[in-house]
Amino acid sequence: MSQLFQPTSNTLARLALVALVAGPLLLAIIGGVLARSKYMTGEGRFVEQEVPFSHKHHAGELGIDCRYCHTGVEVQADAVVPPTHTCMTCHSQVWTNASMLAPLRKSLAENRPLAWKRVNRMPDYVYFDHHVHVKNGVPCEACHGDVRAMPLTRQAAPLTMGWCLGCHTSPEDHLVAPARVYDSAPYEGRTARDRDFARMTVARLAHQGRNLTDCSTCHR
Amino acid sequence: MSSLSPSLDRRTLLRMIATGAAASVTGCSAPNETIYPWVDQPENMLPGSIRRYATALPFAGYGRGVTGLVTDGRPIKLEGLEAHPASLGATDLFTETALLDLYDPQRLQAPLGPSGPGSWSAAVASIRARLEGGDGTGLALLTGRVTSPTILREIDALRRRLPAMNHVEWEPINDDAQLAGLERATGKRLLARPRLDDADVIVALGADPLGTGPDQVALARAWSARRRRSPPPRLYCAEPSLTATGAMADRRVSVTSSEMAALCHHIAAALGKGAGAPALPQAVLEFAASAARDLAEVPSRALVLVGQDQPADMHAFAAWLNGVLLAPVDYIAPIASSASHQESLAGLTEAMHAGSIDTLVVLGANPVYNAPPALDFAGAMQRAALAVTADAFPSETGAEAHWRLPLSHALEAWNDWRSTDGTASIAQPLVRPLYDTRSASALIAMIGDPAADAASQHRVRETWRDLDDAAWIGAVAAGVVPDTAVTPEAAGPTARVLPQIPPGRAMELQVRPSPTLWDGRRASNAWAQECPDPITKEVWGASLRCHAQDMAGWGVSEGDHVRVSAGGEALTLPVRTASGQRRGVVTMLAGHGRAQSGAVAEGIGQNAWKLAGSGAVAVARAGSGRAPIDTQSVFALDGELAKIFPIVAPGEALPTKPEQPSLLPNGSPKDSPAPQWAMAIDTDLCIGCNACVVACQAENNVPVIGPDEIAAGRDMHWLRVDRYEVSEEGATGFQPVPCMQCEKAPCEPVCPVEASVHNSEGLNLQVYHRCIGTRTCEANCPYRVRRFNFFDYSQRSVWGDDEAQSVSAQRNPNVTVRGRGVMEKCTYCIQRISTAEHEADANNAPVGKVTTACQAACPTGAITFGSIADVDSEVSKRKRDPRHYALLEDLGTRPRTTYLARTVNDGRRHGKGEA
Repeated sequence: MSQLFQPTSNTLARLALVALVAGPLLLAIIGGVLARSKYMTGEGRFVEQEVPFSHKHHAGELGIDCRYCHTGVEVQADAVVPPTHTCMTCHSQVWTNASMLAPLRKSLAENRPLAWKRVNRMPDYVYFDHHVHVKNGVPCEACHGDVRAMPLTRQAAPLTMGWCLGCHTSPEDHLVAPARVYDSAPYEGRTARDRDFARMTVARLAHQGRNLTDCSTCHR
Repeated sequence: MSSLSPSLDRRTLLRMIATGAAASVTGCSAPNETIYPWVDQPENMLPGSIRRYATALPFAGYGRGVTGLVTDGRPIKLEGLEAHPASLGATDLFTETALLDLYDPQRLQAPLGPSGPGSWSAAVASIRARLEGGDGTGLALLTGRVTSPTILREIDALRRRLPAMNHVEWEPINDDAQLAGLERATGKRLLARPRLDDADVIVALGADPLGTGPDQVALARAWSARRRRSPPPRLYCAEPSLTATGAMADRRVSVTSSEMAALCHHIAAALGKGAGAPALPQAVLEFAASAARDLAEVPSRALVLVGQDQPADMHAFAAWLNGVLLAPVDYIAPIASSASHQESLAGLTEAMHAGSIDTLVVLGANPVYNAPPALDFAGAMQRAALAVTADAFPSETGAEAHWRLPLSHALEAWNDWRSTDGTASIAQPLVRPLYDTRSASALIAMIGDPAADAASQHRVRETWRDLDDAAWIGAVAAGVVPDTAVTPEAAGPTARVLPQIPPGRAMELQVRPSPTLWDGRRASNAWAQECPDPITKEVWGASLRCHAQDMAGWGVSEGDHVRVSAGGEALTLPVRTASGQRRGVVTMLAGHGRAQSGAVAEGIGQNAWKLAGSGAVAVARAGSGRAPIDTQSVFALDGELAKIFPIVAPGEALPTKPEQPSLLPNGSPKDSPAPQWAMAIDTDLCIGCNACVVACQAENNVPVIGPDEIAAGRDMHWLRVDRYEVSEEGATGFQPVPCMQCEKAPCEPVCPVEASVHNSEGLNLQVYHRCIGTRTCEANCPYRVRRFNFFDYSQRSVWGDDEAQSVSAQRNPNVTVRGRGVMEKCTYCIQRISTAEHEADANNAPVGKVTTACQAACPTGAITFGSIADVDSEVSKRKRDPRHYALLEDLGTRPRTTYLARTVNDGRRHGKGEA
């Protein structure tokens, strides 16, 4: 009767034992890395839009205030994408025949809304509120990046729960004085005023017993 | 209705597994979401904001003010309107369910003519062709009760063109008996409006003021206002079968109709105003003596009420006795026509049978379903050369007509209505018509003039042309037109009338309006069908309520079917022993047994209108059949009742209990800087009306699951109303049970994924996207308030239309729509708390008042909600009340939702010590 196992079987068996431990570990690591990768979170992703709107041109070069279009940002949860009429305040006068703006003119003529693809997407079970952030000193740039430098809008942050919690666990490092909320690069050169405001806000939240890491802060 | 139980073979299963695997792979990529902004955004109409508008909804022809919550052009919730006398800021079940009607896929969506789909202009042209050149002879307009000044103006305008036309109002639940009775007693056709907040003693004789009806909110509010004041009032109730009023009564007796009349004689005799007292059972005699003594004790603060379905001489008796007692009752001339509905309809049907009506237009009435069968209305309709019906939903009358026209929902058109006290409201639309529909006033105008302005706003504005523009805008914004309530009339001297005692019957039938479906007009509403009956807790149908000994006599047991017959009509339906039912009386709820109303109601229950008015009936065993479905099982609570539903005498305090030992940390909510949310529910004020149950359903996207799922015990209502009773004729009461938000919640430690967690404001959260559906929390919850989504209930539909797209437009965007395999429950309307806190944090202000949906709906103010960290809050005050108790306190769960005990002031057990 011949040998059932060849000498190489020993090696295979050892390798199998190693793989039994290392395999799942490796899979977990790959999974973890993949889940945090920009590929999965969408960080840095551009979205093709009907009208290639440039924040760099409008907000950066022309200096239009964020709130001129995003009228909800200081009063309610939804910051609001502006109506066609807001675009038309200028574009009924300038670039009236630009082919790039054809969908805009069509929207006005046919009274049908423009269809914008969402860039910063939150899961349905997250209830984000713009005005509570903006009015408490979280600058736009904290989540949206330097929009004034974006020719096409891209997702600037991973928008994962861990990333949100980074701020919610230590808000004092992320707040600026209300006057600087809409600035570019608000975190560069934080002044004593910024730090005072951050400390006061955190103290106020603590005084009111607000716990920013309760599940119900964002989920219902 | 499609069944939710799957039927699977091997191939289907494999196919589903493959599809599932494919879906899980593709599911990872980010879905493309599209944002549609406005083209031209009206000022302050920010997308995503919730705006509140005052408007009004009709119920049985009477207007009731509501506040519509609208987001992105969709009304998503209806709340009460403080300024309106029939709402007073609260709602009832009918207001809450009315919202679903707007989005109901069963709605009529386009005109249907004799040869298939048609148009409004063709329908109107065919009516006008018959009226050409005539004076309206042969034209009959049949409507429900009309209080709308605009509709009345349009009818008047039509009558000026066609002076011989006939207009008849028909409501199966009407005031005929009361108008006739008051005419007998006072010589005038009047309606009584009791002032319950001024009444120390109320004797309800078959009356159900706290039960369902157009005035339920106002009456319940007035009753509860008096009940909170000292000295403790007393409510007596004599009735054949238990109602909400009977359940809340301090002393109650069940009687047959002849005993009811005899009881009146005894009360009159005991007050020294009558002679000759007929024989009565001892319990009824004691009741009569006690009631008469209490009535006499508080002159001008005692009141006798008689039910809508009682004969005219009972109403006359009440008018006389209230006159003698100087009772707090106002009398007003009827807001709608004072003609008898029964007689008008009988006259019309006779003319139709005689062939003298050739054009019949039925507007929002359904006589084929609810007219007395002896009239044979369907047969009479066959004689008309042209029958046109207009209604929002399919109906039995519509099925017999040549044209079936779709009416707009009240939230889709400009309307006006008057309330039961005469107050007029101008009701603005909250949404454009979803389908090709018109309002009732538009149809009448078009019959007169096909070129009539279809925009309903102009017609309503024309009615109110006496208001200048500022007053018009003010009235629309406020929801009421100021100073339009009618002034009460003096009833004058009342004649003494003692009711005639009807002969005793072996078995008599009582037909009552359904507390959820009214006369049947709400039967197509799935929220209403799934809302439990306050007394029996039955859903999706109603059984015959009987006395246990009667059932034994017929040889039937619980759930068996019987055949109820009278005058050639017979119905077969299941029986149920009902507590407080008089032996010799069987009770049926109207509103079921719809044959043509859409997928929801068809085939459910039996049409009680077929036997209404017959009085004596024969009942016989008819074998077994589909069992009735209910949401609260009935069993005896040997000795446990005092822990769950204690009952005290006025002024009596509940014993305080020592703190239970616990392994969990003890924190006092009073030390917390954060608001500590809590609720206190006064069971002494809860009338079991179910407004809170449906308000919660509408606010929190609670799905409708259908009769099969409920029968499997899978009720999804986050808030239920339990009923407890002490003895058959004794005290009973209602207990609304939302999540208790236990400080030491048994559901939390058992969750393997921490989906059930506490937050720092004392809320017991359910994190839906963490939940993996082990249901351990449900098993560990002693209060049974957790609800498991067994199937994807929000996507499945009871409307027969799998997508039910239109219904999803009702959903609250601030509440997660839960999917399959997820545990869900009440979290004190956390979306409202979050909104208030975000508002406060953004503006550096204190957290404003938060009102939960159930609290906002409650007509009696039984539910209070707030923070117990604030010792002066309303809820903190209630928690210091001597009647305060926690449900199953011995378990040491320290619930945040607690109760105030029901008080019973029956004068027997406590205090006066008679009998």
